[in-house]
Amino acid sequence: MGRMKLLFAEVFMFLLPSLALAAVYGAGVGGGRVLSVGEVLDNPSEHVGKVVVVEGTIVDVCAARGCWLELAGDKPGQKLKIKVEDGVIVFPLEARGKKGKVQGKLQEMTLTKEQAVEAARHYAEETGRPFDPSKAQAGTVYRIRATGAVIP
Amino acid sequence: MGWRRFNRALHRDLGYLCVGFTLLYALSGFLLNHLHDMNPMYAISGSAVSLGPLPPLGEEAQKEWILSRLGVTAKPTGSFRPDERSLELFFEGGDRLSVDLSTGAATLERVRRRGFTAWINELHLNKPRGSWTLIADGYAVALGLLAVSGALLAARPGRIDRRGLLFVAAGLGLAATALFYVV
Repeated sequence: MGRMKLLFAEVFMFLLPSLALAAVYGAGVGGGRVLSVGEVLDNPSEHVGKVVVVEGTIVDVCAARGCWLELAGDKPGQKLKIKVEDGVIVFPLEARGKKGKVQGKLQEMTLTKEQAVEAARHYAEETGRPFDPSKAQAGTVYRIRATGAVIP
Repeated sequence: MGWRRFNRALHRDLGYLCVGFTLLYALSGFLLNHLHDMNPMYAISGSAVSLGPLPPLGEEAQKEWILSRLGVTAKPTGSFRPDERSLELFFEGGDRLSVDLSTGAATLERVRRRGFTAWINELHLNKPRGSWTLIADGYAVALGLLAVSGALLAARPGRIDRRGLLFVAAGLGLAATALFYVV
């Protein structure tokens, strides 16, 4: 009986570190320089169309389908949306508050006022936040079309 | 064995085999259709609380004051300032505390992962991948065979079942109509 207990303890100790391993989503993240959200958003033209690896605190996740998350920068309100293909990668809501690393292509999108309002409405529906159409502005937005992520 | 007898046996046996899967996929499909009415993965609840005026402290001290005021002992996993007057604190499991620093109004959003509906939703969306993909593909093939064998269960052997043809046409017509919304 003592030997069995020792065996279970050893197996458990062997498996324990696996509990601390980060979860890999999609194709994961390759090597290369890791950028902060601020570095990307302060000089977006340098990175548009390129595959980048970005790290930041996950401050929101699509509760409905887990098809996007937002990484925060250092400045108040600074966020970068990370979008994945529906169903291919599903981010868990439990990822909020964790530091995530994402790899994907930085996209630049120019929205009209109507498109910005529609995007804000959709965002409000998905997050349960209040929708204020007056705050939606036409302009250029950036997001990453991600192929993989690593979240502890 | 004639083909009709084989067809009946096939339909019967596949029916028995697939009844469990079909009920699970039917329920998870229904839930996916009503995603905006009920989230099958998570139960998210919010409660509002007033902290009163916040003392003029540094950011870290302010966080500690807020947590102490709410009696929260858990350590936040992260924080974010949506704007100059707001603060969000995150906790293990995805819970979020949003605070309006100027008024002291706070909202605690609790996230609880659902059990059964989260499980069948993940199966429906093929989250397990790997061998589950093979199993789900096998079920899809079985459903196709069920559909065809069912359509061939004629009421009267040797005659084209007119009633059956009408129902098949109605079903295909409904599906074709739905295409107009997609294309």
